[in-house]
Amino acid sequence: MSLSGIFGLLFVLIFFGSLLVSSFVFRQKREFPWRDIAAFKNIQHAIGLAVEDGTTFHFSLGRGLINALESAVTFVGLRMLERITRLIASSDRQPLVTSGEGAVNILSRDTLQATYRDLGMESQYSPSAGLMVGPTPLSYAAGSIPLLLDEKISANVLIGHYGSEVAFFYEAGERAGASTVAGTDHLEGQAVIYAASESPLVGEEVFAGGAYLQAGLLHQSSLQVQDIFRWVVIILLLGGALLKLLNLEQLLLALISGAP
Amino acid sequence: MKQNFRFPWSAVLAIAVGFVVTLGYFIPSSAPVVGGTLASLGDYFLQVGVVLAAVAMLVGLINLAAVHWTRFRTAGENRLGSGVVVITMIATFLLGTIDYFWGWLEDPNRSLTQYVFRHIQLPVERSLMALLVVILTYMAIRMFRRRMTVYQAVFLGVFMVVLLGTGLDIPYITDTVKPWLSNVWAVAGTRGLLLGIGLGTLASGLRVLSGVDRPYGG
Amino acid sequence: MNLPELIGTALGFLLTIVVFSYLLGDNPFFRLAIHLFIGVAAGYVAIVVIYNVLLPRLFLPLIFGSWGERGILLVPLILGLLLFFKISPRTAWLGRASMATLVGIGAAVAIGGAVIGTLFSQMEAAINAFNLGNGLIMLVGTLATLAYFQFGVRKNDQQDGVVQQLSTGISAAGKFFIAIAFGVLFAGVYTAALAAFTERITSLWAFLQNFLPF
Repeated sequence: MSLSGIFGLLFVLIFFGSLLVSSFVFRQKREFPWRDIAAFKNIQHAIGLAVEDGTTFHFSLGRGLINALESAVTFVGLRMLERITRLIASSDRQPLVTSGEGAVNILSRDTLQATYRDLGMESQYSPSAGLMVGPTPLSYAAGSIPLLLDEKISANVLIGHYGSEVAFFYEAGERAGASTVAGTDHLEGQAVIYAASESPLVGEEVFAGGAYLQAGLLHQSSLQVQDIFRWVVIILLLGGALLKLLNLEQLLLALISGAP
Repeated sequence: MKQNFRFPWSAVLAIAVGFVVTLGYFIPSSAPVVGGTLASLGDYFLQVGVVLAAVAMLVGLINLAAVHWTRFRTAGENRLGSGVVVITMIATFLLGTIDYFWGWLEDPNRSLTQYVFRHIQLPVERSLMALLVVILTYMAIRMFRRRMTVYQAVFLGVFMVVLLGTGLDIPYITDTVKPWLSNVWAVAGTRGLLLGIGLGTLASGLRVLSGVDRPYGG
Repeated sequence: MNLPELIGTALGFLLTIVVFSYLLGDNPFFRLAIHLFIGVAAGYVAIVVIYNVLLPRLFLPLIFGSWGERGILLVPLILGLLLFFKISPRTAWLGRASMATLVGIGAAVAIGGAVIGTLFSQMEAAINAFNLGNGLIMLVGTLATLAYFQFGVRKNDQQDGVVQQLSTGISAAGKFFIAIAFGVLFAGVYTAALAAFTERITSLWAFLQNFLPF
């Protein structure tokens, strides 16, 4: 029987256990000592602007498949959408939510409807607020250009799975005079965001969106557990390198190599 | 605010299905007692996922058509564009249906769909990609104009070196510096980024599997 | 070139010019081309979804398969049909079980993919690549990048001079490697876009040559 499968399962179980323990600790402490990430501050500022001015807040969820690895970043985007919708609801305005994939489109509308239902404002929910712009990366990006230019948006927030086409959203956002904040799990997309923005969301920062928008204890504890496991990975890598020098790396590789 | 308690059936379903698929991922089919069953169930649900994602895409496309149909029926500045979306969508689908029933779908000489793909979708897609050159160049120039940090200077320097090393045959740059940057320094950064993304992905998946994040609205 | 091909190529030529016109600013022709593109892409995706996924994986086995196969496919059939209720907000709740199933599958795939496909495979590659030359640079870069993303901050960092200096150093090294990685990735994106640009210009020129006397 493959060891890597069992070690993988163990890794997941310990990670999950740590999440639960950490969320219990946060429930007691109620303080969140996270470093500043300018992009999330910009999002909060944009929410305030949209509420004050009554302008449109554009939230884009990307084109990630829900039954694939990229679903994770879309789940983060959907949770952020829920938080933003709650904050904007006080101004009687709905965010304009776009996506480039069928299941993401359905989930965006589900999230909007559930949030308005939870706020006791379901009558204000309009399904037209959740649009699927185009079913391919470029049709989604290019199709968003006229939409962003016509809707008088003040904020252009993109959280989801995007590749290099994210450049079009930045370009359209700039033409529309809106501030753009984007985060993706796709490295090429991140490289473009790095070039386009003064406060880019890079690496795993996009996954912290829920915690920075106060989406709940488990989001806060996720960051703490990610930090702990970051050092676990670092120790494993250092240990592996040391074992490699001693020609004993197979001891560790047996645990982490190959599919189960 | 209403506080009626409703049993979260959909959350229970998501957790149960996710649990089975996760176990199927890690527990090998050769494992005693449950291994084979879990692997088969996991595979089955993955197949169900493919079908559901396909149907969800159709529902999304219906949403897309409905939005444009409504805009087309309502007088506005984008009326013509919306009409074009609905008409070309239906027309392309009908051509594909003809292709399918005539058995032309895979035949590049006869397929009507491939004709449309070759002469409309491909030129627009490639032109948009080409447009990206201008947008990316503008981004890079704007980065120069901003008050640059040392890291942004490194970014632009590496970008220039790799670009020149790829496009031109410059001694030392093309054969030594560019491969060294790409295969050693960039791989190091990329690997660190991917490991972090892996941790973030794991945390996000577990939040859904624990029922804390319920994007399906249940 | 036969007539249909000539018409098609002319259409491609026209669309390329119209898309390029966006460089001069947003205009109705660009918008029309984009809407045409969206419509064609949507129709094309519908064809792929129906004829390449749903028919062979669901409907044909349901019609021609054994009773066992039909029984197994009943679940995706019912869940798939329920998804159509998502079109209207009033009936959307009926499709909740289908979306919950899909989300559960997606979460599991993310977990499995993150651990086996990303974390373990990257760690394995890092260990295998380690040596006292370039392998060392790669290991230091990977560790520094990973450490840079630390979210938690200590309240009294200023009191702890050595730790503070070490943490600043690691963070700076991490940012340095990130900048290099993104520089290389950006160059890759740029090169791909440049290739598309060259291809479009070449095709425009090739089309024009059909009508030029020289």
